[in-house]
Amino acid sequence: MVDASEVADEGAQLTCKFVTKLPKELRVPEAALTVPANLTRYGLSQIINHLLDLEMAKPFDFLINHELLRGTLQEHLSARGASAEVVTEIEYIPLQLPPSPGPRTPHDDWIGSLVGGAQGLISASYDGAVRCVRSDGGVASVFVASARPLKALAVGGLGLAAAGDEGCVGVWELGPGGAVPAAPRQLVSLRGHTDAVAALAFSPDSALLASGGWDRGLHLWRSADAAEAAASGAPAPAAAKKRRVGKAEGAEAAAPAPVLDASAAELAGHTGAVSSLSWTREGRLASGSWDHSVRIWDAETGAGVDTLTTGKARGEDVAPQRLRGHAGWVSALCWHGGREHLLASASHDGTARLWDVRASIPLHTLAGEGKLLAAAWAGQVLGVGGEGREVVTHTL
Amino acid sequence: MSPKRASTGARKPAKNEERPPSEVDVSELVLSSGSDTEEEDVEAFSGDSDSEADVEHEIDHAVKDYVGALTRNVGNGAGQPPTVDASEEDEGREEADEAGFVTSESETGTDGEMGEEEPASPRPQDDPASDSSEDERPGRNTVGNVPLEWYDAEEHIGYDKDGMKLVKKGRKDKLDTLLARNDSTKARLAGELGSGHFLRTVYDDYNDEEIVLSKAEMRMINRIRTGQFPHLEVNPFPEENDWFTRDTEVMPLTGAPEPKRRFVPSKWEEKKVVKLVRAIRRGWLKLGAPPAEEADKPYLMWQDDGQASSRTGTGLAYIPAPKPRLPGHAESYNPPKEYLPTEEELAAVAMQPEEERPAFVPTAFPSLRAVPAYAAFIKERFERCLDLYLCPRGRRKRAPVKDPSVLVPHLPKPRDLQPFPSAEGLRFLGHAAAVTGLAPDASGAWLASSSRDGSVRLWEARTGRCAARWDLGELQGAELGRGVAGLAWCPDPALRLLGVACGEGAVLVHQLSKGATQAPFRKTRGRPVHVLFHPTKPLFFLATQQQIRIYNLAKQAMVKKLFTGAGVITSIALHSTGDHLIVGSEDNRLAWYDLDLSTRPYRALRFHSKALRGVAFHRSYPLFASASDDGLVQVFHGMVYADLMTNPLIVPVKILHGGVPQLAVAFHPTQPWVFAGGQDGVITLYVNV
Repeated sequence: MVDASEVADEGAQLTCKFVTKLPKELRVPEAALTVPANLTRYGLSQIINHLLDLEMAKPFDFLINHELLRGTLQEHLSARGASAEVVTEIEYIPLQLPPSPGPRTPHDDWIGSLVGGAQGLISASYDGAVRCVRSDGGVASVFVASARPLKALAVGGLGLAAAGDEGCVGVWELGPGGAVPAAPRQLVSLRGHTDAVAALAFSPDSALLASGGWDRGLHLWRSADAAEAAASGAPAPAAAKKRRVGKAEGAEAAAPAPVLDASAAELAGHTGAVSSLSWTREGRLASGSWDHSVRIWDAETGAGVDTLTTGKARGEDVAPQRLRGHAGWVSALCWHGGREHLLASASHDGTARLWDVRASIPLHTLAGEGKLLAAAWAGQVLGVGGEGREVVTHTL
Repeated sequence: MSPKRASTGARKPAKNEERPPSEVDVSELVLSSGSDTEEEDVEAFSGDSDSEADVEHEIDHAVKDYVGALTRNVGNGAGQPPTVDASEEDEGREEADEAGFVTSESETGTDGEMGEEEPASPRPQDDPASDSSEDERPGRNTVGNVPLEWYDAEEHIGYDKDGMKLVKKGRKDKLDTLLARNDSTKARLAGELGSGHFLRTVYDDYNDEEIVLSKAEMRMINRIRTGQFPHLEVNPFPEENDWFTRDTEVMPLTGAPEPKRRFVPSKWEEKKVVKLVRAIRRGWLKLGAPPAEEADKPYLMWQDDGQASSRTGTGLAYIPAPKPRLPGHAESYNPPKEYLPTEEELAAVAMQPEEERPAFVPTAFPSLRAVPAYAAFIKERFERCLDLYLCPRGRRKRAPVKDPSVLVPHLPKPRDLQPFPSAEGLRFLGHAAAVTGLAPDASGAWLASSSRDGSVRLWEARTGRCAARWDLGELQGAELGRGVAGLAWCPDPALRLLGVACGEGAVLVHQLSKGATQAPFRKTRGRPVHVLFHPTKPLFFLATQQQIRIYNLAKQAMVKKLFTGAGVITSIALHSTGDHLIVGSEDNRLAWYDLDLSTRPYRALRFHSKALRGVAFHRSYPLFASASDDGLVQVFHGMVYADLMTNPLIVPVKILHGGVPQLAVAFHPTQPWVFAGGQDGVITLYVNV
């Protein structure tokens, strides 16, 4: 129990009830407790540990009305206008400990994109190479996907899609278990963009591949069409010629890949370069653009569902919450696959940050190297990379 | 007459000024009417003292005056002729004497109050009840108010009321007068009643009769003479009855009810109060004690001599003439030795050309006598006069502005004009020397830059990565490579063409489709700085260091020549509408030209402290920027309205500190960002936050 004299010294107190969704051995009795109002997360965690009487202390984080407690209880409640008279229900969850720094994987050039594969992180670099990074930091495999910088990667059921300044999206076959072979076969080359491609994303069911580029275009490619084109194996003559020009210095060991010219749909609407793509679980596509807007598309019909305008540049700011902390441009965002509130961001200020979106300040700040341009989760491993020419990993 | 009265009479002439005006008039009359001959005659006959004669003479004249006034007033009236006494008429004197009264002299003690009462002279016309003096002595003569000289030559003096001539009786001569006097004196001494009135007898020449005044009349005359009322019974100060006093009466004087105005505030008083309040507010009335008078303190007489008085006595502006330098020790006739030039200095002065020699060389003389005439005197005076004559006397008068804030134009706040670049977002590191040109491509993904190191670099605008580098020094030779004059992207976004110009001094038009090059100008006037194509019209802008010419390419003729002020043009930029041009020049000035409006600058912005090196317009946002040698990049909001009647709105919104001289500036084509290239080879991207 809390020392009574200590409570008396501290002045204001409030009554609270601790609840949790943790397993039974970590639950405390749901009786109302009177705690000092100036307690912070650490103090509350001490109380819980005291109540649980564990052998080894376990840090907890606390949620009040689905918001993480930052600062003292009193500050938190008064800032939200909550009354200190009623019994406050506080949910406790295990504290997200700072991730441990993992191995670093040097690259030959800047890292343009990262994606989490089944066997580890896959990086696309400015030198046109795609590397599969093992969890111990070694490079499992590498192949040159393009003669020009690669800026976008995506892994789906169809295979590995990579694109960059060249403007075409190449899809490579992945090995068993999602491993990247040393010399993968290029299934198909998707040609629809007239300028560099900036973003790629497979739909959750891998039926669709979305690609956005600097030509302000947003294309949807059907995996079935690509597979069909790959099966037919008929490369367009013009495209083959272009590819030969692109890979002038050789390395055209493999036969030119078949080309798919027509995308399944082109979603028109953005007036700036489409720089970021993401799918929802329901099969909707969100696209971020240099025209300061995020558009939500219905992939089935190809119609725009919503337009979210952000920033002060144009119109109102509709974002309900802002996570502030980065000192430079935020270049990449990725959600953790298993934890719904955990978000990682990479920024030009050279840091990556872990966020719990229930709090407005970051959980942890992770040092990177140079301007960070890409970030990706591979299981519990966060990899970031960019100007520093190395993939820096952090393990939760 | 008492001795006191006599002494008073003797002093009278000296007191003339102190008497009231009426008496002065009387004495004037006396002096003017009294003739010397008469006086002498009287003295001769009387043998009395001078003082007595004076007094009697005055009385005589006063009486004569009074009676004359009486009789003349009733001159025309029908009246009883006054009684005529035994007085003789002096024929010779009658002509000179206007008044024509003769009185006889008498001894003292004839004053009315002292003497015995005498009944009034028997004049039947006198009506004792009448108050009018005109009734008292009706005139015998009826000629009216005419000069009596008219009758001098006649036997008669006029006509009575019946029209009969009034024959002159003739005045008594001196002997008769004397006799009458003696008779009168004797009669008085004998105590005869009704006698002794010689002294009270006056002659009326209008009616030609002698009138004997009663004692009451004499008293009346005396009272008039002393400034009193003629009649004793007149009370000049009757008892006054104050009907209206400040005391509250028990019974009111009137039964009228109290009027309403007694109970309401007075309108007129209120008006007066308002006037006073207004006067106090405007400072016409000063409240409080008046300022204490400055005591006579010692003050410096020459205090203001050194200072320029801004006002003359007439209140006009006045600038005093410049004062000449006062002579110092060196100008002394015998200056101390340290002021005297040494022989070497004298020799050096002698060696100088005449124009450069000092005007004055200190010279020592043993005494003031030995000083020769000042040879340069005339010349010096002339130059001083010339100085005064040519001295500028103009005084610039500032407009009277009470509130300086009214001079500041009403501009919107910069935060209302967002977005504009306000913070550093990215640095592009790589150039080894100063950046001379910046060219973002149409999509905004790439940035091309040229540098003095002879290289052209292509940057990824999003990340700051140098994607490509071309060393023009290797390609073209070091000299050419160092002079990358400009670079530009092909406006067609499908064609990723970057044009780079090297060399200087020529204007060439290249036709990409034909692969041909033309030199459109036979001769170039001035060194070309920048060329531009109009975005929509076939116009070509050529900026040389001195001027800007606009040519119509279709007509092959010059359309316009823009006049700049002084200063070498360093950069120009054209608005996306093509109607507005900004020009940066080395005289720290950014000039905005409205091409539809005038060939003169619509506005000149002097915000930089050093020469401008680059200016740029944003393609879509209403922004323009200037880069300068002072290390600043200044961002302006420059809104151009489609309405021709509205002038462009120009508001400075942000100053970006580059640290080193900024030589090039360019806006991102789609974002409100600006690239600035510095002398140290660093390109900075400023973004909006």
